[in-house]
Amino acid sequence: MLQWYFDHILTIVTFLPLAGALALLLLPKERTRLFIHGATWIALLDFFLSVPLFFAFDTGRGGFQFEQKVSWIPSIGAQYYVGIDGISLLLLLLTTFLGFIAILSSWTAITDRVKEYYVFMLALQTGMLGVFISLDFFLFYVFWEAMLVPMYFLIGIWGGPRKLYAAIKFFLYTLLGSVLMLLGILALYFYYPRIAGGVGSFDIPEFIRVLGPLRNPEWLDMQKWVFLAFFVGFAIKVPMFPFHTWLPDAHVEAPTAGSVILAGVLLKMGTYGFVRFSLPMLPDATRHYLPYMLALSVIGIIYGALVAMVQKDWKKLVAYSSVSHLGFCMLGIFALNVAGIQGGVLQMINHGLSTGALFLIVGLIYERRHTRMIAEYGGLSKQMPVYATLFMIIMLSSIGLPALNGFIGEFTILVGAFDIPRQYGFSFPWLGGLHIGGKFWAVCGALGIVLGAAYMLWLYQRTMFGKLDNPENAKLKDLDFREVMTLLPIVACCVWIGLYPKPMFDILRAPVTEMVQRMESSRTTELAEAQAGVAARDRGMPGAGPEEAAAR
Amino acid sequence: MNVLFDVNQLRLISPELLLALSAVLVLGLGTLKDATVTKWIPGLSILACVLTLAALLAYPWRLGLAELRVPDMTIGFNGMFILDAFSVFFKVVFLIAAILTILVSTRYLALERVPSAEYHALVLFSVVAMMFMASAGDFVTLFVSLETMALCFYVLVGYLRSNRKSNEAALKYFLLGSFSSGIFLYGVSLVYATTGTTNLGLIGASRSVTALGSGMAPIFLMGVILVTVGLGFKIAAVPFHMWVPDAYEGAPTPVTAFLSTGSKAAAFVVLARVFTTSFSRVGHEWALLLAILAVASMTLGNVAAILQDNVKRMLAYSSIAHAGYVLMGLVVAGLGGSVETREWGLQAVILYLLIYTFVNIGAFALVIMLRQENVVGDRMTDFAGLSRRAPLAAFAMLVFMLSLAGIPATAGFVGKWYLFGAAVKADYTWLAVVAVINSAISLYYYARIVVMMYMREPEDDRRLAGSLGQRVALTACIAFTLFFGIFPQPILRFARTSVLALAPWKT
Repeated sequence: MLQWYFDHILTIVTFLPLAGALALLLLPKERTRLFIHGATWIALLDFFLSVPLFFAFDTGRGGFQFEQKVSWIPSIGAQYYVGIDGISLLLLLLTTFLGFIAILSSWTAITDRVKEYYVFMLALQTGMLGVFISLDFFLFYVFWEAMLVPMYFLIGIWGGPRKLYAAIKFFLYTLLGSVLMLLGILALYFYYPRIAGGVGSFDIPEFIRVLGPLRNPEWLDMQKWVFLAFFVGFAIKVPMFPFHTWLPDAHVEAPTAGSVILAGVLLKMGTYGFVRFSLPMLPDATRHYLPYMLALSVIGIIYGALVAMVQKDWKKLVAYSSVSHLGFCMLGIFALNVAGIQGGVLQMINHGLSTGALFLIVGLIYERRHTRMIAEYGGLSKQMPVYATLFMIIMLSSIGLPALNGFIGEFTILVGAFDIPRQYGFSFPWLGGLHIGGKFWAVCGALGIVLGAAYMLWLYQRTMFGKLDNPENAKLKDLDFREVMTLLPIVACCVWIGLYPKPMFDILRAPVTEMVQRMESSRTTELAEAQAGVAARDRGMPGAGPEEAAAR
Repeated sequence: MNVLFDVNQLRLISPELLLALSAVLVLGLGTLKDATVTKWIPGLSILACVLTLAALLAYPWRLGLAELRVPDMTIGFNGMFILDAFSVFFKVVFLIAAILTILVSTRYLALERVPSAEYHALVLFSVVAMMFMASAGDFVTLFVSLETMALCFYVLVGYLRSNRKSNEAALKYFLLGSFSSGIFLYGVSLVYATTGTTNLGLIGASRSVTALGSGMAPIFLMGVILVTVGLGFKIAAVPFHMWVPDAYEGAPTPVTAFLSTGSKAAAFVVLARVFTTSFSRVGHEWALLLAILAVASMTLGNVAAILQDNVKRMLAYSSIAHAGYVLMGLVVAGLGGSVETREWGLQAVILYLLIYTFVNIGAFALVIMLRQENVVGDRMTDFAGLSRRAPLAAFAMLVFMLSLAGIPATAGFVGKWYLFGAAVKADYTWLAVVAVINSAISLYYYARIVVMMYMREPEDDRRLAGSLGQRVALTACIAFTLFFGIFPQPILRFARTSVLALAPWKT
């Protein structure tokens, strides 16, 4: 029985919410309490079902675990193939965790069309989990896009005043990215049989194994195009500057639980895509575009922080802080070393926890006062001490105070970023040989932390401290038990990761090391080939280098 | 082969004969003017279609689908008629489209107060014509069946005699349609002039080489272009699409549904057969031509659809855009470097047409069900708050819209995946990029209906009163869209077998 469970655990965890949603569909829509409790229990059960993964996961082993492979569409070689490594394990746990919290937080916030709301929430949960466990590109794409539909409804039906605009903008923007990514997937699908023989396949581990180290001029050229196609899809999702414009609209207009899921899980799909696909499958193209990626990440960090600082709307401030924090994750990932990627992935989790909680905080006060303008508030700490305390811990976690999770992530990312080789940057010979690159990126990242502290502390000061001068605020009630329970687990996780992050690093070590080694080995081959090419040129043998070969 | 008429060959066209006789029977029953008789006409028509379907499938069933690939066994009437798996596939599509159309018209005809017998007879006759189009082995059979189908549709589009819009639509369709038939015929005559035959296989096999080698090449190419124009009109490709929005809007909605699926698929089967059999030697020339048509259709169709407030018009423009997507598969079939790539392209075409038939008729079925005693039901606002008034119907429409937009877990995605894949496989990446961007744009107007249904308050609490037939049709469409969206393997295999039959480049 237990063995059977562990053989199918990923499938069970992923499809349980969908099954629950279908069951809820059958119930009459007047019984609202039934939906609230039903959905909460299903989400909680799903979380508990996913927890054994954390303990059963073998951290010493590389590759994928809990794999399950079933033939699905033989004509095109698509399989139902799922499995996780350390990176997806953490994201999966984050998803089941935040999924439960998000549903718990909607009890009183959602009063209209309750049945549909919980059905969409649960369906969304399945879509997100599916993205993280898929090891088949076709399956991955199905989850990746199908998930947009429930999110579109969550924003469009239960959102704020500009919900229709925000919902369609979110849907169109992400769809445009995904369909371009689809072309990249198709290109890989048709290219793979030419190398490995056989009919087409969507097997992601095979793609990584076969295509990653491949050094064929045609493939090196193609990599760049595939990278760009993937880049559009993932960068819109992350969102990286300048593809971020959908995010403030979607985050601000979405209902609280929607924002939590958007910030906590959906954005991670973009960064996850880079880690899972771009880096190991397209290592040469990644290095080729690295300076641009680093520049965009750093611009995102600084720009997001600066824009957050001037926001008058509480929720918008948190939304822009996401742009900044996700820039951090990207910086770590594109450092392309163990510390950087580990930090980047860990920061994805941290951001999911702390920003998810920040959206809950905004949601709690919005539910009471129906305004998000920062100027409306002030001195809340006197009226709502529990609320203020929890907000403080989460705010400190978000700005990276030591002993809380944000610090661990940001520190590790900076360690990685300081190791970025000097060559990954931009040279400006006409500016006296100015070179932007190497440690410059880390310095910018550190500056981002300072800015982050500034806007967060200022927000806290404006809302929580000072005189309680708005009479409306004097009537506010502090948090009740359920509301505390939505925030407390997150706070506990923040403290846990902040004080004892070793389990996380253990989980991430094997997959990240493996990935970095693959990239290193492909890089050494590249260097060796380049040197051979130079040597050949020196000896007067035209056309022997890889560049010439590619040009021909 | 020199016998002018061989009775045994009637076996080849037995399904068509059966259907034609049933149509005559239906027409005859209509003259009785007896309500007890006429109320059975829809049921009888469906029965005829089902029996035809059985007869159609019995033949390859007995021979085995593999046997059908041997050309000698299936060419009848001196090369005029070809029965192969490729034509069987399309005949199945036509019959399904007809059955669904008849099902969704059940309550509609009574509401519009128009006679039922002629309507059903015309639908059945047009299906007979389509079936002959799918099997045509000669330009003569092709033209005759094409015209038969067109004539049926001219009448059907203008079937609401007292309705000005319907009359206008029929007139426009007729004028432009006969004009395009003329152009098509002129193209055929040019091809005949240069090759000396009207047989599709013979044109492709040897004579066209002679024609291309001599000074006749420009005339032959002109013929190819004119044939493209004539067929481009039928598939509603830009720039031959002018009639589409008006005809689709004015026609009775079930006819619109049938026109956008059956008639379009029939024109595509002709395109596929003629271009891959007869004109395969000039594949690069016509593929470029079709690529231009594809890009124009997709872009104009999608952009124009955004501006529409009438759902039927919107679906008309969407249908233009979908013709553009499907053309992409034909481009690859003409251009692809390898046999495998060409087959992929063709397979994408026929797969998409099958899926589109179900999805589009499903979408129109909803518009038909919105038609009430004093409501036309084709404005965007008629969909307002449908999720409250009729949750299941709204869900069905949602699935159809997502499927048309190509969102995964619906059949539309599988179809689009094949089409985009064809373009990528043939290294026509620019075409694929245009197509996917268009596909994203199209979501905007499909989502408008979703917004209406789910995010607007209902204007009144009218419920949907669908007849049994309409509900059956809707259930079939939704089941098809969802089931084959997740488990597409059966239809993929069906399409694959059919394409292998039509692979002239193999020999």
